[in-house]
Amino acid sequence: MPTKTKAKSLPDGQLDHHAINEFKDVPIRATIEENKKIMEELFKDSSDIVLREFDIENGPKAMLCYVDGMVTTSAVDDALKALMILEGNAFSIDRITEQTLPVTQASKIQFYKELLTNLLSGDSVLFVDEQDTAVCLGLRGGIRRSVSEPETETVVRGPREGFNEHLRTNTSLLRSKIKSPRLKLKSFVIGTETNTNVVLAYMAGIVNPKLLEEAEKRISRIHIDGVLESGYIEEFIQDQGYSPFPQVQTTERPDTVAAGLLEGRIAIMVDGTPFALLAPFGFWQWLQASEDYYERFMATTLLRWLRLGSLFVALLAPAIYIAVSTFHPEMIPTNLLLSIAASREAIPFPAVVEALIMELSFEALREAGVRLPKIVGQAVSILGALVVGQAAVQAGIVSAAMVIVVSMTGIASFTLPRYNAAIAIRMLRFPIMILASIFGLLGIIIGVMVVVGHLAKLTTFGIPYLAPVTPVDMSDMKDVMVRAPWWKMKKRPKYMGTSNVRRQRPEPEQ
Amino acid sequence: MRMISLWRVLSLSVCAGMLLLLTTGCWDRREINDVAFVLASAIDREGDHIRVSVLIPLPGNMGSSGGGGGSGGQKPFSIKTETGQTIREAVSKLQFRLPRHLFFGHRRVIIIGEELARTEGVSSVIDAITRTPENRLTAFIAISKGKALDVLNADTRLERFSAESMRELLQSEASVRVSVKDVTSQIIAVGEDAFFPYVEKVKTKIKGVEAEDVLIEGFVLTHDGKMTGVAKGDSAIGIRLLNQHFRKYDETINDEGNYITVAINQATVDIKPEIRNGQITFRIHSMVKASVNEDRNLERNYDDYAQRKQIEDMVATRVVQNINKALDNMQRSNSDAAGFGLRIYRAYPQVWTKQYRKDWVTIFPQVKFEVTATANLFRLGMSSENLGRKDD
Repeated sequence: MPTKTKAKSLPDGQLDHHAINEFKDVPIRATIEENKKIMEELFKDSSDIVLREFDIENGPKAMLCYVDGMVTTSAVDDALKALMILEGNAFSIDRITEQTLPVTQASKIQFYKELLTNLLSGDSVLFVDEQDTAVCLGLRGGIRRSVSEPETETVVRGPREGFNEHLRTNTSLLRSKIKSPRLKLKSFVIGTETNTNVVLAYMAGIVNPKLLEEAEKRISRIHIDGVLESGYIEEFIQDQGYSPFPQVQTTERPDTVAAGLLEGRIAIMVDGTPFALLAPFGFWQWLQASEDYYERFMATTLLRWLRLGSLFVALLAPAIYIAVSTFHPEMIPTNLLLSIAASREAIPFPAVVEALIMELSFEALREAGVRLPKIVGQAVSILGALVVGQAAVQAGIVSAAMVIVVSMTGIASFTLPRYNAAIAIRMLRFPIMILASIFGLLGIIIGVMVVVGHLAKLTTFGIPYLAPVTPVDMSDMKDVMVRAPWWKMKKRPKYMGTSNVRRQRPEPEQ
Repeated sequence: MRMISLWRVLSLSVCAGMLLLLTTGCWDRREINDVAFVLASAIDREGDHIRVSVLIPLPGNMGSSGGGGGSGGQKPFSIKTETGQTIREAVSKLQFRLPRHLFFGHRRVIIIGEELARTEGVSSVIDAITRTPENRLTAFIAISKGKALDVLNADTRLERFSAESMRELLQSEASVRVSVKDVTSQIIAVGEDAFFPYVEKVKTKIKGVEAEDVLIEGFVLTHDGKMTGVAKGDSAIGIRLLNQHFRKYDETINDEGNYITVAINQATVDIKPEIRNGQITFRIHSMVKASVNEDRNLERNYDDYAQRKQIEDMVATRVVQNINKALDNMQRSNSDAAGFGLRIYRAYPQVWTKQYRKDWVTIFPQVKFEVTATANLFRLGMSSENLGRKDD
């Protein structure tokens, strides 16, 4: 029997001008005509909404609604067939859901908000006449991109699967990595219009409960009309909005997310993007590539050092060249200095201007290479080789030494495995170059001190950004400048504050 | 209200910062194109004036890549010269004539003319060098026979700059590395005198092609910063031994008409001061290790201990001779180039400060030396006997 609850009337004015949330307390009507009228009004001018009316054999009228293209048509057909040949007299919703429908996911709904959310997520909704409850059939389908190799994080050794735009695919990839009930995938819906599904993943019993609580708090604080990419979420939940440094890691690799969760971090996955977020994300994670943990530890350690060196080169090389050549020529060995002087002899610009021209054109080239269609990309690289290369030197616009410095800087900035961190470094290079041109090495020191000071003050989800180096924790150093062999990494990073520190079985006592 | 004042403070400080940055004009900034790097300089005395000459490389003529392209035949350096009452005056007068700023941070060689070294001494030069921070204390310093400018101008052909060839020479086996730093510490100490490499330009002529070389003839001995003598040949070797600046060298000894060349590979010199009845005696004992390089005596049997011993004795005698020559030379020019005074100070500090420190200048020429040496023939070369000889 239809139960009269706090039946709230429909919102005023045109129905399709209201957000879904406003239909929270609007109950589903008991007659098909009424429901159909509401639906038609809601989805006026929406050509992809299908409202299919039919008669249950010897029974009441019914209506099936779904979004065309988001359902598996054959499954809907099967369900429809089962309903049409339904026999008997009792046509209650309960009976239909519990006995008749050949559908794995079916749930009863009573209010329009739920109905709309599910319908627009791809579910089909069944109304039956004289019932104030609708049934939601999970027959989602449609076209999805297949799981393919992640393009931004390629590895030589390691899994080749990457996330795609479908949240459920992504969570299933993650679940297939961690087959444990401890893996929790807590769901949120963010965006008043987009109603995007967001999943907060963590390992229960490993994650620091305070971190989890904080993450949940920050996610539920977000009120925005739409979330189209995880970047939206990232900017909302980071500690320090005005920092150039990323405080949340982005990755499209399920193995990276799984490794992060096992370290006691949390992951946030957003429907519609292959990029998952991992937090906390500190400075030393800039240098960690997923492959580090798959390759042998000695080679990995060497690569870590190489990356750290490259980081400094990427940040400082042009600045040091400017400072030393214009303020401190006594620091350059005589013969090298004479070579530099010979190559600079005909250059009309000061070293700063030269460096800025080269760096900017290099950055422009890189940006052009990223944005252009792949077919045109080749032309860009040919032109680029001319601009940042021999032609510019022969024309006497830039010196050969500067070309070398800029190329070194470019190569060094590519070695950082985290793209968002590399962008920060690229960006900071310019102010430090200008400081170097004004104050020489002193300027570089000032710049570096400001950067280091900021890094030291920065936190990521309450954890110091430079942890575990400052505040120092020797036992956590095993995964910073070196990557200890796996049989040595017996404990999870302490600075994460995990509730379960041990990740290997303790050695049996003799 | 609080927000407004915060903004005002912020914007004011930004403006002040910008003003500071934009109006200071980058005080030390100097592009490489605007700097003339002095690689070497020569300092001469001309009457009452001092002539300063600097060697400046010309990057445009160096032939490496760059806008200009190669330039054949032209010298890659230029020598500029100017006179003045002081060295710095000459430099600043020179600066007026040059479009580029003279930069001494890369000067590796300083040559002082003999005349200046004899009359005025090197002390004034040291003063000019050490007062400005731009100068390198690791620059090599040498005294030239004749005009220093001529040596600077030597066209050695082997290196791009004569400064380069001189620097290589001054740190080669032919010389002892003497830098401004060494000289300063030697001059300032009582009981020690500085010594310098003595360089000379020599001309060679092969098939009508003239070439110039810079030769290191020996060492200049100074007293109180002034040049008082020159040690050449054997006595130069002796000075080197006494200063523990040992470098491998060859010695050819006449053994009753048969010449034998041995290489002295190692040498240690032990100097012990002794004061007996107010008379200072230095016991100098030298131990050298020698190897045979060439032997013109075909009959010598190296398996015979006595004959080997004979060579060792000859070498030892020669070492003693060299050291004695050097000591004699030093005493004649009253130049304590081996720091004998300091050795007394270290052995008898109180006696030194009470008795000798003041009058060391007069005492040093009368000091007695007892020189001994032992030699050890430790290597005979690839073969122990002459392979050009018929087998018996």
